[in-house]
Amino acid sequence: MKTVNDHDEPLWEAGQNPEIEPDAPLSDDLLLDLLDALVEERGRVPAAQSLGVNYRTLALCCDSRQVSRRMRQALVEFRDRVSDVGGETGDADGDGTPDGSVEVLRRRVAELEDENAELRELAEERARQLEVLTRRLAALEDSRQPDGAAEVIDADADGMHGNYHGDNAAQDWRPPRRRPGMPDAGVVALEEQSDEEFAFGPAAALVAEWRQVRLGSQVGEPGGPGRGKGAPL
Amino acid sequence: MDRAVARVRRSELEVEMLRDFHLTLPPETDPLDESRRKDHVRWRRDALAEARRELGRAKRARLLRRVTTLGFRRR
Repeated sequence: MKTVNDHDEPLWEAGQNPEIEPDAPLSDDLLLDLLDALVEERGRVPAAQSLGVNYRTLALCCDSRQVSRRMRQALVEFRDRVSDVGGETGDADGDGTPDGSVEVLRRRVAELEDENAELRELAEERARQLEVLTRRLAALEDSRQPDGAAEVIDADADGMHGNYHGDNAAQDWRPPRRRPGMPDAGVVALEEQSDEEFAFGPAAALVAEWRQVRLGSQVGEPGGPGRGKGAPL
Repeated sequence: MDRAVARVRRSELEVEMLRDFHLTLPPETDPLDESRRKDHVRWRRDALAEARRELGRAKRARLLRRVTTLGFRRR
């Protein structure tokens, strides 16, 4: 086989261009691909042992992206060896990588494609939900009355998240989110706010009891309202 | 004892308000997003577990006092 270069005879290190055989059966790129796959799968030291070359020879080839004569010979021999042993690995293009790594890579690509498809579906679903929410928000803004918070709250778009008027405490009840920091946004204040019974719906009784318990526990504690660090208010 | 009972009840109420009714409790002034709401629920659950442990200790201490004082001391 015609030589290209070798780190033992460093033609390219001396500034000369390596002679690349035009009709070589395996180009440097293919050999480098094979080497990369081998190194990625096994690491440099085991790859060097598999190829039967010195670690420095392999590292020099990896780093410089130049295939020396020794590396070329080792890679071709390795490829032939793997082709003989694992010819049934389904490597159609003939650029065989060792020990069924092609199958591993194909499986990995298939997994990534499936994952990518799932992520695309998820993104599309999120986009649809965002569009629906945007439409609902626009409808809410259109139906919003300039005066009277009660009318505003009652004008919830689909009525699902409106305020509670029945007897059963629906678990899907959600406070209307309009003005942050206010009862109609679902924010509980330490003191009772106006219209909060209406805004909190079925949770109003819980809020009242919570305030009562909180005041009672503060009265009972020696430090009063200024309690320990990290304790919930 | 009463204080431990109040702490338990308060933690139960807070968990219920945060988890079931999606309310926001002080000192927060803006509605919580889902991630922070879960954090708050988890903190309250921890506080509830601790309050229940404290209540258990208080009950055992009361029982011990009653046994050692032959029931003469009520509190």
